[in-house]
Order: sequence, then C-alpha cells, then structure tokens
Amino acid sequence: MSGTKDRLILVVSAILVLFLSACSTKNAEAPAPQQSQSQSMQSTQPRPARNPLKNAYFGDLHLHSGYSMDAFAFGTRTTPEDSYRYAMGESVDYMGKPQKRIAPLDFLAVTDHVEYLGVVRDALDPNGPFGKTEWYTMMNSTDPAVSATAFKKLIGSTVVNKPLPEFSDPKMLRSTWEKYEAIADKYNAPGKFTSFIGFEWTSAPDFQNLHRCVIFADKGPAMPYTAFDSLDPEDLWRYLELQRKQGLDVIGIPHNGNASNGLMFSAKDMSGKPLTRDYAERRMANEPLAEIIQAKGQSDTSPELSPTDEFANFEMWKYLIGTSIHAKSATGSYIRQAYGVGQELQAKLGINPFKYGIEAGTDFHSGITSTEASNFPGSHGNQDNDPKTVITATTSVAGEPPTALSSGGLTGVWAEENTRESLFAALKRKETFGTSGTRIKVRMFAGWSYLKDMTQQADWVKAAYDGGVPMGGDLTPPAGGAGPTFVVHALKDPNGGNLDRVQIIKISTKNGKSQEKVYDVLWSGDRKADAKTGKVPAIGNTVDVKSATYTNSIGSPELIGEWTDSSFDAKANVTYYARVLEIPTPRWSTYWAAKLNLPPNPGVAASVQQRAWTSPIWYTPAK
Amino acid sequence: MMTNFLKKLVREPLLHFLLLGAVIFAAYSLVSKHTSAEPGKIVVTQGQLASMWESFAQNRQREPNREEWEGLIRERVREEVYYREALALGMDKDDLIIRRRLQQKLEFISDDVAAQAQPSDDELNAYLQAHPDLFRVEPRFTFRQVFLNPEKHGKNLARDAEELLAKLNREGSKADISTLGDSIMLDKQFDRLPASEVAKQFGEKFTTALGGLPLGRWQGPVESGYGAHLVLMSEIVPGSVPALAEVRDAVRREWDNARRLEANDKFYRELLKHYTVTIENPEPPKKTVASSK
Repeated sequence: MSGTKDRLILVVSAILVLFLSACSTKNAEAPAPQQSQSQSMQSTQPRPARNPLKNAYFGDLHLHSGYSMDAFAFGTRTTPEDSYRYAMGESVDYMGKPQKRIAPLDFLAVTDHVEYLGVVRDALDPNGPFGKTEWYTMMNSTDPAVSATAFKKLIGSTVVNKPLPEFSDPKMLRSTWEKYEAIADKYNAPGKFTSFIGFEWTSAPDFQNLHRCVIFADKGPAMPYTAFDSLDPEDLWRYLELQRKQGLDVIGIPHNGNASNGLMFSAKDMSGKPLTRDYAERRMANEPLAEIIQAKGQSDTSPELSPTDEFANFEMWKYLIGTSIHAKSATGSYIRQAYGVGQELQAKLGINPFKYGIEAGTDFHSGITSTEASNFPGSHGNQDNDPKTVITATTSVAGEPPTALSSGGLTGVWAEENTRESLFAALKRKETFGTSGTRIKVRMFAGWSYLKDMTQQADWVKAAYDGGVPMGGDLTPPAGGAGPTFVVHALKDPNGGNLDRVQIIKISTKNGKSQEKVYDVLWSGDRKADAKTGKVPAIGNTVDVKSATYTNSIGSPELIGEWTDSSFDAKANVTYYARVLEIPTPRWSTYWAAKLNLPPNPGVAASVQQRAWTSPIWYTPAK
Repeated sequence: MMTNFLKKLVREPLLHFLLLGAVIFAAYSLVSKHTSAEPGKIVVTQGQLASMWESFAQNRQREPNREEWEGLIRERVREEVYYREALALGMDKDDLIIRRRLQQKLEFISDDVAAQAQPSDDELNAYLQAHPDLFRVEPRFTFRQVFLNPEKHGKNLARDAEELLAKLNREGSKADISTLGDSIMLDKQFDRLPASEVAKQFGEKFTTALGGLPLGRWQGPVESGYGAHLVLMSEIVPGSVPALAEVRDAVRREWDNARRLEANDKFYRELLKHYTVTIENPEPPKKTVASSK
C-alpha cells in the first residue's frame, strides 16, 4: 500500500505546485468562473440581419478530438477547445505542427466517443468502485485527526477537519462530460459561429457499423448515452425521446452505412424481425438526416448497386470499421438504394423508414475539420501523419491503408442566420446538403407550376419558396398530369474547382419495385447530351499529377436552371435529389505525393471530382 | 436547494483541490495492484448496486425489470472477473490504449486546476497587448462589384473588362450596375462587410487584393475564385485592436486556453523531477540495422 501512497503524494504535490500558481492572482473569496452561455465571447461587430430567404452555412457534425480514446491512442492531443478554435479559423497545433483552415467554418459539433468520457465521474462516485478505498475512507472519516492527517500530508494545511457531506453528492463533481458541454457552450457566438453539444454513440456489433452522432439543439443532457448502455439503435432512440420529453431537443445521425455490412438500412430490425410501422415512425422522428460522406468513404451508392452511374466510383470504402475485413454486403449499406427500399416499405407500413435528408461530416480523429484537399494534414494522428509512409503504405495498425481515407465531408445548411436555433431547425426540416469537403453551395426547389426561366428573375428564390417546396420537403399530389419542375442553383467553392454538372437522381417505386435514374440537368460549356442516353460527355481533366495542380480553364463558376421530369408517373412514390460535380482536382494524397516527388499511391484515384448532394424532395401519390 | 454554506463551500478552491486529489487517487487505483478487493472474492457492494440502479433509471426514466436487473448484475460480475484476470496476467502493461488513457486522465486534472485561475484585468490587458492579432477587429469593406464570367468571355475577357471599366468610370455613380456584367448569385453591393465574410463569399485571392484598392474609382479586374470583378471601393474601415472591455470574454477564453497548455506542461515537468530517466541508446535505430548487415 505504501507504494500507492507515495505515488499519490508525488502526483498531488505536482498538482499543488500548479494549483498554487493558478491561485496566486486570486482572491480566495472570488466567485467561481461563470460558465453561462450569455457570457460567451462577444463580438464588437454588429450581428448580421436574418435573411428570410436563407444563407448557406458550412460545418462539421462529426469530429473527434483527443477526448476520444481511440484518437488519443493515435497520438492526437487536441482538445475540443482546439477543435472549435480551428473551425473558427484560428491556428492550432496538431501532431506538433500549426494548422489553419483556408476558409473558416460557420458551425461545429465535436462528437467524441462517450464510451470513455464518463469514466472519471465513475471513479468519483462514492457508491462506485472506489467508494471503499482508503483515500475515500480517510476523506470521510468522522475522526478529525484521521482526515486532518491525510490532508496535512497532502497540502500542508489543517483547514479541513470535518467530513465534507457534499462529497457524497456526485452532482457536485464536475465530470468530464459536464466540462465537455461547457467547452461547447463557451465557443457559441450567435451570428458568427455556432457550436453544438454532441457525442457519438459507438455501436458496432461484430465491427458492423451502426454508429450515430447525437446533436443537441441547445443545452446538453445530464449524461450521454453510450454503447455500453445498449448496442440497439431503438434503445438510443428511447434515450433521445426521453431527452425531448424533458425539453432538450435532439437528433441522431447515422453514418457510414457503407461499413455496416448491410445492417444500416436493413428491412429488418436488430433482432431480425421485419420493420414495423412503429419502428419506421420512431426512426424518422429521431433521425431526420444521414451522413453521405466522411473520412471512411461515401454512402451514396456503389458501382455494384448503380452500374449505369459513371460517377458512382468515388471514395469507396470496402472495409468494416477498424479492420481489414471487406464488407460482404452492399445491399442495405447505401442511402440511394435505401430510398427505394424505404418507399417499398412505405407501401406496407404506411411510413417510409428511410426518408433521410443529407448531411456530411469528417469523422476525423485529429480534432480538426481539415477538409481542404490542398491543405490536408492527415486525419488520424500517427496513423496517417508521416507522408512518405502514407503514400506508400498498403495497410495500417487500424486495418485499412491510410490513403483510402478521404479528406471529406462538410454539412451545408440553408438557414436564416448562424445561430443554434436557426441551424437546428434547418437540420430538422432537412434543408441541408452534404459535400465531400468542398464549399459548393447548392439548393433545390420543386413545384408544379414554376414559370419557365424563373431563375432569370432577381427574386427567383422567393418565387421558388412561394410556389413550391425546398429540399427536404414533400410535393403534394398535382392538380394536372404534368411532372414537377425542379429549380437548382449551384455556386462553386471560391477556393476550389469549377463546376462540371448538376444531376438529379430519381428513385421511383411502383408495385413494390424500385428503379433509379440519373439525369444530367445542368452543365458547363457547350457539351451536347447524348441523344439516346441523355448523358453529357466527360468534362476533361486539367490535373497535372506530378505537380498536383489544375486550372479552372474548364467548367463553370455557377450552374443555375430548371428541369421538368417529363417521365413523371403520378402513381409512383419518388425520391429526387441533386448531385453537383466539380471538375477533376488533385486528391489530397496526390498533393502529398507531389510534395515528396513520389508517384501517388496506385490504390487510390490521383484526381477526383469533388461533389455535393442535396437532401431529397419526396413525392407520395394520393391514396 | 443548496444552503448558503454549501454554495460557499462549492466555490472554495480548497474543496476543488481535494476533489482533484480524489480523482488522482482513483486514477492511480486503476493501475495499482493493491485494491481493497480480496483475491478470489468478488463482492458487489450495496453502493455499487445503488449506483447501477440509478444509472439505469436515469437513462431510461424507469426502473429496470427483474430480468434486466439480473442481467446488469451478471454483466457487472463478468466484467469484474475479466478485469481481475486481465490485471493478473499483466495485460494492463504495455497496452497503448490503457497507458494513454491514464495519461489523459491526469491531463484532465491539470486542465481542471488551470481552470481555477482567475485573471485580473491587468493580466488580461497584458495578454491582449501581447497577442493583438488574436483579437484584432477585422478590416471592413464597403464596395460594389460587377462580375465577368470567364466562361462567357473566353479570350476577350481582358478587353471586355477594360471596356466595361471605362464605361463604369465614365458614368460614375449614375451607372446602373444591376444590368451590367454577368449574373452570379453574389450581391453587387456590400456595406462594411468584414474581411472574413469577404473571404467566405469570394475566396482568398479576392480578399487579399481588396485591401490594396484605392477608394472612389472603379478598379480591376480583380480576380476571384469565380472569375473577374470590377470593384468600386468606397470605404475601408481598417482593423484595430479593441479595448479590453470590448473583447473581454474572448481574451478570457484565450487566456484560459494558454493557462491550460502551460499547466499541462508545468505538471509534467513537476512529475518528471521525481524521475531519473535513462535512455539506453539514444541513437536512431537505423544505425544498428546498418551495422548488422
């Protein structure tokens, strides 16, 4: 035992040195630091006015700092403080080097794995495993001499000579979780930068990914929900429902369906039973959005599921989570197919369980949302930190080769202003889009009677809202027989590649069968769509791999226009969403190879067409 | 709920310190072989049971049923058996995750100690003066812009831009810019737009160029990520370092963060003092590989 005591004294004396220096400027009677949100950073600049026609804001709803145990084990030392600072455009230290975004973000939720965040609190629980330790006994001794001796030894003081009744109340203790929430609140600056309290629920039975990020509208919960509590998403939903009942609005966001081995969008529940109406209703009430791309690849579709989509082969991830095991099943793993399956289930259950809006995140374990391919420092600590190893490696400790990780994922939100309230409302109504890390702004509307060439009018956005629905919305059955008209507007990332084309992806379901079709609807230059297939030829490629450069001599800065679905069938259920493609630009791994004067890793594409996906607009036939 | 006495006590730094001490002990108990448990005997205590019950009830907002409760207890015993066996086998040694987790737990503590510090205004002022760039109010620009889409003008872009520039300067403030240039979903007029907003909307290149533009006359073309712009700058409010009162919370936030980093480092150096560190062969291992060939 004496070894433990010596250690204790050693550590405590080190703490004491710190503590005394921290207190040196402080009056002992001074009040504790305020942590209320209203006290958070203010700006001397006036808050921008609300825009009823909405602005696009960019952020990340899926990021791990060093508070996540796996990230910390990878050598990542960033804290959530660093994460918010980096997102706001400040320079932070990552793996020993300063890192800064070229374009700051508008919002962020740090979503650390909470499976370990609560441990410190457990250790302090007097009813918990340490409640019967010698230290605890000494602290709580009714004999003043015992406790006094203990404290004398530690702090050279006899101030405390009686038991501390508060110590038996765990609520008095600032747990790691509470501290984590306080950090998020501190960086929230309405009108300028929004921070959300969030965490990741990390359920992966047999490495098959069922993870969900949980994002709170404003205040956070007393305690998060962990995969130690349950691996079943239905139990997580119960937790979310309870939070809402207690006045804390909250959503869950499933991610990496691509690594779920068919479980994420399965027509069966966790116990293997077919989905029920109640399940579908709860799933949609709890999870309005799904994550379409992140570091571990995209979950839009795969070349296997969409053989006629020539752009499907983009940032594919073939592995189960944290392993080198290849997923066996594509079916049930991708969102596009789930839109069809959801409509098939809707016919049986009356509710579509997969009516997901689209968002994207990073899932980086670096603590920093570094989605700029030309400014990418790696994303998983020492797993992908050394450029030479990364460019040549075919495996890693964590399983997958590090070059297979993408530099992507940002969420775009159309909201009136940059506040928690306005952004969260947009997340819930699905007026959102996801990008592969670039800052393309894209919005889509649909209506039955939009005027031709309406986008030529200066106030077309207002007309589009007034005469139809924005992305995330539902088209009600038409008066006439003509198909709906879509208005799409895409503006390039001013620091990125020009735009190649805008496509509308249509998944229609009738008599229990679903089919998908990709329409090229807007494109740059004077290319002509193929008369038979309707496909517009490839844009070309200006990327010089050796130097990792490209030119914006092809493509457009902006694509805007209307498209009417001429093969509309009023009796079919339809999900429509838009995809915007940039011209090819160097992949992050190509930038790294060029710096080292090495050929890029042959296992990944040298150039990619960065992209954005909108939330869908749905059509449901009249009964 | 809380009595004044308790409120006062909660604010008492000494209490914070004592609680931290308890955390340290807990952390060390995790690595220590000396736990209060007897070997070969597992006792699930009343306190542990109460804690498990409360945690379940808090999460589900209901009490566990009999089956769930027995399941929780079974799992608790199973966890304890594995935990003890793993410790007995020394599996906590040389485990990267366990080692780093424990490091992290101690760092959390020094973070908390740093959070106790209350800076005076003088200290915050000194910090503000030492790091003016962190708090500088951004420059703000009042300007009008007309866009030329390179895709539409092709090789004639430079000539078209020159002609339009001449026209704009001839017509001066009478020019109707709503009908000039090519359409793009960007506003044509901005009133005191902060530099960071300019960068978000127009990109880096354009923002850098903007600061150097003379006032009162159409200039350009200024290049952005979209193409070429003709710009009439009417006001540049230069960046400035604000008074402490204006940015107090931001300075406090940065000051806290600096203290946190400092505390972590100081804490480590204090601990390190108690160790004699021997590194057997500090030369890079490369050398040994080469010599063994």
